[in-house]
Amino acid sequence: MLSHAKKGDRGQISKFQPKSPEEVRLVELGFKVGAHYEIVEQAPFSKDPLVIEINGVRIAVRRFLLNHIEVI
Amino acid sequence: MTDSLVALVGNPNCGKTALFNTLTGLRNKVANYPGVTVEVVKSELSKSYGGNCVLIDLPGTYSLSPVSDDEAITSDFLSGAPGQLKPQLIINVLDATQLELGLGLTLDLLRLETPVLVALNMMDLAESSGAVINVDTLARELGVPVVPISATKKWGLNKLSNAIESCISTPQTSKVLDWNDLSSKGDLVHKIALSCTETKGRRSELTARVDKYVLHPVFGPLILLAALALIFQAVFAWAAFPMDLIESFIGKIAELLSTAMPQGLLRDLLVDGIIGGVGSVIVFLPQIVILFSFILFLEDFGYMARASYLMDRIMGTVGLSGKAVIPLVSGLACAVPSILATRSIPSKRDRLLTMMLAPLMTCSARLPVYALLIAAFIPANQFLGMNRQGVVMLLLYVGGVLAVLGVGFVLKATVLPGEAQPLLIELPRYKWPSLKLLGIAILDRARMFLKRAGTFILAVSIVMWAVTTFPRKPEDRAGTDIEYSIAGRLGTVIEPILKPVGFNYEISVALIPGFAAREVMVSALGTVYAIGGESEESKGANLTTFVQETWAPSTAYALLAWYIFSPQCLATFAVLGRESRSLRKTSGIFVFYLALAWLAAFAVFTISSWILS
Ligand SMILES: Nc1nc2c(ncn2[C@@H]2O[C@H](COP(=O)(O)OP(=O)(O)OP(=O)(O)O)[C@@H](O)[C@H]2O)c(=O)[nH]1
Ligand SMILES: [Mg+2]
Repeated sequence: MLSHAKKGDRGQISKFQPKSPEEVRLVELGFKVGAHYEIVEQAPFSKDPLVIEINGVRIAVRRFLLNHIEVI
Repeated sequence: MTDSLVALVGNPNCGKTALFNTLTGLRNKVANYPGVTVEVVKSELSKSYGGNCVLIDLPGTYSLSPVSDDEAITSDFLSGAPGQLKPQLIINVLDATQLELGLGLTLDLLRLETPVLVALNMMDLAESSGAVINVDTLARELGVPVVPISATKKWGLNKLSNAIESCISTPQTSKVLDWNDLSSKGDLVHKIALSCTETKGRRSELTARVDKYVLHPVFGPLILLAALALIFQAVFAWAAFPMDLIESFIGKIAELLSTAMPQGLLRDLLVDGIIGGVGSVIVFLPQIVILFSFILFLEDFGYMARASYLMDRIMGTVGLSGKAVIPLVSGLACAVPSILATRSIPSKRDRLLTMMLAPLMTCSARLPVYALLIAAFIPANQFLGMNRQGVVMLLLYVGGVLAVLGVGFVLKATVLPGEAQPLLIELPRYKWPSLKLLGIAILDRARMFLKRAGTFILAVSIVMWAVTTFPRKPEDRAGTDIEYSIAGRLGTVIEPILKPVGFNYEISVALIPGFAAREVMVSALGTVYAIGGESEESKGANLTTFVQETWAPSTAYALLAWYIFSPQCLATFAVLGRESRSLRKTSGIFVFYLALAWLAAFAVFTISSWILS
């Protein structure tokens, strides 16, 4: 799950079927199956939100929204 | 023939407004964060680019399925809401440095009936990062013309205007692209982006380097604080010298007029009303310019979206997400655009909560009031290596932020319960702002400030002068001239309400026009004191000295506390009413802030009088 990723992790999205409008927005922002990502930074203490670079675009996002994204 | 409508559509932050400005000669707000433009803006295409059509700038969006009010404005406009004109041509602005992100919207646009022309923007950045994009392949894949441009460097704009002309005169239907759901759309976008990218650019070095510190768990928050401290330090330290110059210049004019003109109403109007009023506000021009220089630089460099990331947790405690930070920070300039900017917040509840808090941010119209009182009552010596006046100014801004958090907490616990929608925001690449454009934007702010002083504040000053002068006191009556005037009588009526918070009679009088606009308080005090000044030589002396000599320090502190909360400035509440679509909520929050202002001033006055006695 992408929501469990730690700072410095890299990988590829393997499965993601968006259900809510927010999840659809994630896909539009580049969270597509096959996309490569890297966790650039995470907030202190709670480690949430985090900054992900995906397709060369940096996005700040709460882990909650990444719950349904499977990664390898 | 009527002019054709041409709409600029694209992702947030892809440069639509920059292009709009260059093509129309306007200077609308351009900044490096998503969600700058939040309304439909129209203007004629410049003659130098062919004229004959009306350009329309729209809020940015990632697709035609809107998730926020600003995006809905764009999709409604394109779907041609009843009674609205549909554009004859869509210019789809794409950011060449992140092509794939933009193409999703392009596919949506190609499904509309309106012809599309692609403007491939930011070619200067793509080029310097080493990216090569095959424009012909892109045009072939999409089936529409593609023109590479740079909106800020003005590359390719003549080609673009020619393309606009030919697209309008001979509209072409675009080819049908094969996709039916989100996932096949994603695949197609990826395939197109891949096929026309010959060399991928390096990742932005600048962004990676700067983000290492700006987003850092420890340094990030420290940098945020240091930036704020620097700004308010600079507002005081750097502005002092030019302010002295302006002040002595205005004093000279007042003196000259007083001696050159015969005694009478006209001289009083000019010296007391106009110079006393408008002059006392113009003095603050240097501070306004310095404040805006910093804000505009940070906005254009790309810091704002980072600030929302850094502040997300703190905002969470009051039921907001980091998304609220961008509108709230723009409230440092003025609450009106700040309330409009909340349109980019997706959740209705979060948006409502943010706009209700916006009036508490320390807007630039509070600056003259704070600055006046600080200059009069806080010594300018060093404190922990900083100018003490700057420190107090910083504390007042922090006070505004704490007020936002405190009131946010109360509203979350009462009228707007619930949690914020989780943060999701694109962090744009950092860009070095063009010094020329930055300079123009700063000058525009200065011009706006002076224009306001020359029109609105001038008018209020004249009215103030009239109501503090008439009716004139008959010779045989006791008391001062001003007590006999309309304003004086009004002041006497409200004085009892304000006495417990330590406000004197002059403040009571000056607070009333202060509701029209905050900084008018200063010009009104200027007028009241100029008229009320007993002796001839005190006329034209500066307002700071007056205030310093006649007010108790606790009165000044109480007024500062009042100004943190007071729901002043009618324009703010008019916009709040319109955007919240609720008269009840708007009037409720107005009364609430008024009560808070009174209580805060009362507490500060009582405590500081007790300590100082
Ligand atoms: N280097 C470079 N920067 C550009 C170019 N066009 C725009 N910019 C910068 O990109 C940023 C965003 O520009 P805007 O015009 O505000 O973007 P927008 O598409 O109107 O954004 P929204 O109103 O938020 O949808 C600003 O910092 C601009 O100065 C360009 O061609 N080259
Ligand atoms: Mg814009």
